[in-house]
Parts: sequence; C-alpha cells; structure tokens
Amino acid sequence: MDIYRKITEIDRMVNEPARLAILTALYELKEADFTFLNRITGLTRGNLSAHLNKLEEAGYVKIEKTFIGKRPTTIIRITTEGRKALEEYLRTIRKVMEKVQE
Amino acid sequence: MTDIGEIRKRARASWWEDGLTEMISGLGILLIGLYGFLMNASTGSIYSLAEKGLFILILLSIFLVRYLIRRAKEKWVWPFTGYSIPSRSRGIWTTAGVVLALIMIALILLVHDKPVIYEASLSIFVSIVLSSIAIYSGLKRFWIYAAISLITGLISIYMGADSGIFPFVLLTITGAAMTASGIILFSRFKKEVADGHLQEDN
Repeated sequence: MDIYRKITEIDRMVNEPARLAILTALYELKEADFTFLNRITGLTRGNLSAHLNKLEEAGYVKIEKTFIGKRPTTIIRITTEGRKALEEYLRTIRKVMEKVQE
Repeated sequence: MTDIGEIRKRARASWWEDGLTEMISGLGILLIGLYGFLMNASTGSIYSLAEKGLFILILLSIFLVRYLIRRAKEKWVWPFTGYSIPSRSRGIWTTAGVVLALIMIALILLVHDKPVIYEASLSIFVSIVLSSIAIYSGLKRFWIYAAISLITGLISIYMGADSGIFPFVLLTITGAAMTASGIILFSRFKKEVADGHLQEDN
C-alpha cells in the first residue's frame, strides 16, 4: 500500500499527543491508576479524565473502580484492541519516517 | 510534544523507582545465600534435611517477596506515586529469557564437576539476568549489580573457592548489594515525600 495513502488512514484516536502518552504508558504496564497516569503523562486531571473517557469509548482502555488495600482507586488497563492500535500506529509512523528520509 | 520514549522509560522503571522492590528482593536473595552457608556448614542428616528445606525456602521466598513488595508499596509508595503494576514480559523478552534459562541449566548440569567453568557460567548467568533488567528498565544501577556478579565469579575462580558454596556466595553478595541500594533509594524516596515533592493523593 502507498505509504502516503496509509497515513491518511492513520488512527486519529491514537494520533493525539495526550492519548498517545496515555496508551504508551499503559502499554508497558499491566494496570495503573488515575494518579499514576496523571503523574507520568503530566496531563491535568480534567484533561486526563476526558481523554480516558474517549479511549474507553473506542474500546482501547478499560476503566474500573476498585480498592487497593482500603483506598478507593480507579484502575485503567489497555485492552488488546488498544495494544494493537498503538502497535499499528507506531509501525505506520516509522514507515512514513523512513520514506521521508529516503 | 509527547516524548513517548521518555514515558515508556518511566513506565518501565516505575516498579523500581522507590527502592522497595530491590530492598525486599535483595533481602530474599540474601536470606537464601545465608541459608546456603548454614546448610554447607551442617553434616549428615541435618545437611540432607537442610537441602530439602532449601527448595521450600526458594519457593517460599518467591511468594513472600512478591507479597511483601505489594503490601509495602500499598502502604508507603502508591498513596504518593499512584498505583502501577508492570506487565508480564512479552514477546522477545519471554523467548530470550526461556532460551537463556534452558541453556544455562544445561550448561550448569554439564559442567558441575568443572569448578572454573561452573562458577564462570553461574556468574555470567546472574549477570545476564541483571543486565536484561538494566536494558529493559533503563536503570543504570542494574549494570552495577551485573558487574558485581561477574567480579564475584572472577574472584571466586582466582581464589579457588569451593564450587559447592559458590552459588551461595554469589547470592549473598548480589543480595546484599541490592538490599543496600534499595535501602538508600527508599530513604531518598521517603525524604522526597517528607519534603513535599510527592503529595499524598486523596
């Protein structure tokens, strides 16, 4: 497939800096809570919450309210679809970069 | 701009950043090493009993270390840093780990009666495991642990140490280095919390 055509089909859900940061962090983890993602991505709580909702709607993350010890926590996990979407996105970007540098 | 390389690195290193993982794992390794010394000092039926006990101690340590790390992080770390659990190793890391472990087990069984090769193989194996963590997490101190393991092997070979006791020397020294480093890192982490660099999330 023509790489320039492929870039127009890039997943816009992933192709957004905040969501890319969230998915990248979650890709390396089994699960994390809201505070951890807030700290590691540097996003504001409101921004993080909004992007997590979008990712959940897209089926890329799963959000669950639970307890860690006695503390109520919001746990976030990347789904298989989210994992595949990030891998595909990074593959496409890499190919485009290679093509541009040729 | 989103620095995904930096985010990936920080996510991978998060399990070790507070020092608790190293402190508790190091203590577990140290305990097995010290037990080995006691086992080797015993004779007769006590030795054979202690030998069986070693297997139970190793299994118990794996379970206990994982349990204690989680409980300790729950109490002292996660309220400040947020909760995260590393993913199980995937793809190439799992394959490389299994292949390496099988090669080393085969090598150790084959060269058990040749002390120099046996001691070198064992210290290289431990060193490779620690180097893999260094590469994966990007944490430089794991290179130091890997170097400690190699140096221990070299010194043991040079001094002609008994190959029966060597695995426990290696475990004791590596475990002690990890524990000491973990204590320093955890003290630093506690200081950061006390200084207000990390706020408790409510």
